[in-house]
Amino acid sequence: MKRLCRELERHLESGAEHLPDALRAHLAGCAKCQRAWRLHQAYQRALRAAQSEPTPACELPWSRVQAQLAARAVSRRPFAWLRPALAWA
Amino acid sequence: MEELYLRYRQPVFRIVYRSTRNIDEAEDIVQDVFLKAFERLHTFREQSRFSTWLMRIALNLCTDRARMRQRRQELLEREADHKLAWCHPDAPDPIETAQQNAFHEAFYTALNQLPDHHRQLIILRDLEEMDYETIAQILGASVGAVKLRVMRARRAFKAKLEPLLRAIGELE
Repeated sequence: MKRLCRELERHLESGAEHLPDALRAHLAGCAKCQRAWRLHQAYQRALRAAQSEPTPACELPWSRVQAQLAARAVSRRPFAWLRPALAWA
Repeated sequence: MEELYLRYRQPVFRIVYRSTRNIDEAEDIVQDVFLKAFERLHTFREQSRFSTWLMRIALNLCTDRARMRQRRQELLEREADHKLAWCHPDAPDPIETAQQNAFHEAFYTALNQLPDHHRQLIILRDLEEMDYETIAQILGASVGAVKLRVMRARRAFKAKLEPLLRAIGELE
């Protein structure tokens, strides 16, 4: 792999959207790098499309978390397993 | 605690949802994140930010869930192979899925094919646009190491994405 091909690959992997002139000149004559560049641009487009997709709102209410916390706290108390038996007796 | 929950619920949900793409599953994980966090609040060291600490818990739980899901899927497939030799398991064809659901679906199909450590980095850095410093804190790694890992994750991601984009005509 040529030095400029490696440089371009590193440049693209670092997330750059624009190329310096030297790499742009190299790109014009290198089919392998052109393919990498097209893939990189498509990746950026896909990324923007995914970013623009709205995230739904989290509807999980605090009361549910609070109830779970309370239930877990009870189950961790010493001899918690004995309580139902004692209550029954 | 309620205030902390209401403040961080949506940011945690965003990260988790990016990983699961399923609202119910994401809410289950969010609940587990906060249960774990509140039960271990005494172990929280204030040299890191609370949000960073929560994100670390969230990523770990997402990884656990993804492993469970994968194991279940493997078991189901094995079972189907065993019991129904005449019937092929209906694992969704990633290329077909991408064609049906177009551009951003191709993105998530490729994302879900990545190993957890790569997927997390793409979500944090490229989707959520977190800075390297914050990601380094969440992952407990150096900034340099995170930059290198992000580059590797992108390389792996593009390799997965390329055939999907070709299939939907986004790449020649």
